[in-house]
Amino acid sequence: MILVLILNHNDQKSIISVRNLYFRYYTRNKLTLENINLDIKKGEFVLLVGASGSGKTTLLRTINGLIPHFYGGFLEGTIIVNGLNPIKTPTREMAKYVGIIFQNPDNQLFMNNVEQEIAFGLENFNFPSDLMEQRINEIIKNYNLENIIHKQISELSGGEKQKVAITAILVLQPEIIIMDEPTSELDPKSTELILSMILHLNKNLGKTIIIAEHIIEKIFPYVDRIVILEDGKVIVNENIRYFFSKKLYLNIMKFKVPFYIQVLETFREKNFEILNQMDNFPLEFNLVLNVLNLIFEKLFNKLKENGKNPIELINIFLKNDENNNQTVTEQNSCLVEINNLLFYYNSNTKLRNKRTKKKNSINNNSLNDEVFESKDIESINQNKLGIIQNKFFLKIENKNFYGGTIVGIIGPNGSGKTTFLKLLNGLLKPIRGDILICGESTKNKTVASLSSKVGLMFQNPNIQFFRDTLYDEFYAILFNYATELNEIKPKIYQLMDYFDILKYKEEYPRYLSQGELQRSSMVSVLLSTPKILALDEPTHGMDAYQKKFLFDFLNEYKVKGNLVFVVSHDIETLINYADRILFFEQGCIKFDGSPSYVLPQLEIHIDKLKNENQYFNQQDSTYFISQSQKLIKSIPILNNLFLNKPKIVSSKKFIEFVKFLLSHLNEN
Amino acid sequence: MSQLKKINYYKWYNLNPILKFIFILELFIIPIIFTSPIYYLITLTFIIIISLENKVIKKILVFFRYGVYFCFLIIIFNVILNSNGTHYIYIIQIPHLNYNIVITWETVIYSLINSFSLILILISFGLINILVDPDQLNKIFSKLKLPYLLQFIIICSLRFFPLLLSDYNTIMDIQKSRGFELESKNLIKNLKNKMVLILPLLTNSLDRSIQIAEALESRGFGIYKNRSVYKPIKFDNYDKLILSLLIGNFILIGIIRLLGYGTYSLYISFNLPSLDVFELNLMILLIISNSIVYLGLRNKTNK
Repeated sequence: MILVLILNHNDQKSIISVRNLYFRYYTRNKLTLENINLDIKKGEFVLLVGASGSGKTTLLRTINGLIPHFYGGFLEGTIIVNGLNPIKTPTREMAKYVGIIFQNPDNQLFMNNVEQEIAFGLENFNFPSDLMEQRINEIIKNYNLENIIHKQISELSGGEKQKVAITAILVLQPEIIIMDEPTSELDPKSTELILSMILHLNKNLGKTIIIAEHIIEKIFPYVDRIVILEDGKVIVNENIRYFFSKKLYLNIMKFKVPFYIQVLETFREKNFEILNQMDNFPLEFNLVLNVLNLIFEKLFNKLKENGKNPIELINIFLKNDENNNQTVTEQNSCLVEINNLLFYYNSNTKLRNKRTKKKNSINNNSLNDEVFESKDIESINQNKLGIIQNKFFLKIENKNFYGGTIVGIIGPNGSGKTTFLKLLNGLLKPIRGDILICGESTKNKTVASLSSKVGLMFQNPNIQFFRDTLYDEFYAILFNYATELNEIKPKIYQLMDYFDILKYKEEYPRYLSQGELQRSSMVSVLLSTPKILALDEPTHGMDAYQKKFLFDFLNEYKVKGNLVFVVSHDIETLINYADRILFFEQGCIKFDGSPSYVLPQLEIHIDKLKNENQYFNQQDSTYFISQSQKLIKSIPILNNLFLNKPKIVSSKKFIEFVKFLLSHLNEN
Repeated sequence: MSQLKKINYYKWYNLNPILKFIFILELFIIPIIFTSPIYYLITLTFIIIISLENKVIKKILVFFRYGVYFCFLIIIFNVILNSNGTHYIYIIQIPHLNYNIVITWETVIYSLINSFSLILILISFGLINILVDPDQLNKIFSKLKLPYLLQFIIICSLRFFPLLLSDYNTIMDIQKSRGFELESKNLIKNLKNKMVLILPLLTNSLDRSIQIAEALESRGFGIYKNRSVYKPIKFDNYDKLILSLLIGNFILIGIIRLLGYGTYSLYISFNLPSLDVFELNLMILLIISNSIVYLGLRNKTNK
């Protein structure tokens, strides 16, 4: 009995204890961490949230000793991790107890082969060969690595690389695993893979996990505790259930409440008794669905009791919504015109581009038709994923894009989204057909000459800044555009101020956080004031607040008659802001229209493909269905009512819908 | 583990890396220390056979393509600057400089042989690169008891080189999209503009190196003086036999060179490469020994 009590007591003991911690980097004037006090128990799953630059990464670095051993700075306070003091213990010694996963998988994998990579840590700790084999075999078995264990690292997808990085840490069997935005550079499919792995580590293996993550939607139901940082200070350190049930988020600026919680909250605000009767605030998805099913059932019954027909109310709401959605884009001028475009990559693409250019200079009308006969195009149509004999292709019939529009581009990986953007700014030239930018063909234009019309923002902002300071970076760009010298400074200041990065003007760009870099990257594109903006995954690494800020800006930008293309996996944000959605599949535009048209069509299309056992598997399909659609589909009573009706695709609209129904309840 | 299906990228992938490495190293050394085209032909034959066996001819041709540019330069410079030889093809008089460019058959053939040697060095180096992957090279170095820091530097440079290339392409796209003219027809302007690529690439590589160092620290790299090796290279009797043959080959090459064989001089006047009987015997011995090594390795792959 005494032994049990002692064990229980030990279980409750903190594995990480931080007291009065202050830290400032040598290169910065401001404290990055200020008076941090934190206790994390063994086996706890802690979610670390905060705006970019709030000190999340710095806090994680202090736990495994990278601060102060690797990153210098002024440090004060005490930290005890698994009985050791990381300030005095070298990081390589701490590695036995604390494993860390970074954002970019490429920079944490050193070997060529997966098996060798997993063995790397064990080799460092001088493990005997047989023990290494035993541990690696266990890892392969437990994490289903059989298919990739003998692959080269370069052959793996982003998610697989991150999976290898995690297993390479796990093989050392550390007690604590800390993760610094491990999914920020991954697509939704890979994100899901990594999140499920993290859950397994905590729930089944009892590892203590601290994760700094901006995608909290999927992870929060499984987390024990939420720690929110703001300007280097802990402003919230609470049990996650308590945090949501007591609505602590209301006091926190820049905190976006997950959609399902928003729906529940809408009902709670109206004092719906089911929620008030519940002991525990529901967080798990399945539990939320059950609760919502009960709530909607009750709501519809009440409406009926009050003489209102729920189906009629739905019809009224959908009709109002339809009327509001009608926009007249044709009033603006056509900025991009695509005529029978065909493009494909192969080893000779560069050569072909040159040849096409040369031919065009002789005769503008004779395009490079001989390279692709109509017979080939037929065979292309029968191929999947836009790949024909290892050749990627993109084929778009006639399409016009008008100013004053945000065009969202979605589709599976490798379906041609980024290629399309590169064709717009002339980095790639069509093999056949033409793209007219403001009436001029891209074929005879250099990328530099097109850059003042089409601003392309690339995916990874980490490698886009090359000068000593942000200001120098922007200055060089404007100087290159031969802007009047007296105009350069005001223009840069104006844009930097708008994007809230003026305070970093003298900062070395690589010291900035992912979100700050993403905004800086946006400024670098906007300097040339292009009529057409093409953004490739601009919301990567951004929290909900930053996403809203970015899209609010894009809304303002389009109103001035500009055209914005946004390639993103972030369907939720796109459907709330985009006027038009293009769904790319197999190198073609499969659906084109408003979000409320494309997404329901897409749902039917994916269901059809799934039934035919085509390449869309169960997991893939979920990335092209909005949360609102998922909710309607998963709540039987709603699913029945929305049968054969267009579903509400936007989460914002769904909340409006709930409020609309509740308002009818209040009338009586 | 044995149940796991091993992916064979090429036939010799799972062979003992040391044997592969030494065999191709021998083919790499021959064109460096000999000047006779007969030895070059022997080397070329083995390179082609190994490449065909592993189906890597296309990859080897990439290295050949790089070599061709250098060969072009070798031929041009030799023909212009070297006027040795007695068999004249053409004499170009430059009156103002009082200088004659004398093109002789000897310089043309000499430069062709030099080019041949360069191509062989490049493609055998390519073959090492393709057939011995960096992880296997790591194991070779640890078997040779090289300090592991040095091993790691070599491995890292091989592992991150493709990433560097991909960064280069991305930076080029970014800079072009920001309005930097990198497609100018003016060569000098083009070279000058390329600076906007080189500096970012350097900054980026430095940044990457910091992140790599951070990750290395976090995985305990350098915690102990010695480091164990996962699945170290093991030698069975068959391997030992092939290894002794390979060592024999190196000794034989040394003997041939020390005896003054394997050289070919075109100057003062053109003559065909000649072999005396003893050299011929040594050469046949070298061919036979290499053939046995090749067949031995092939046999091991098929086992």
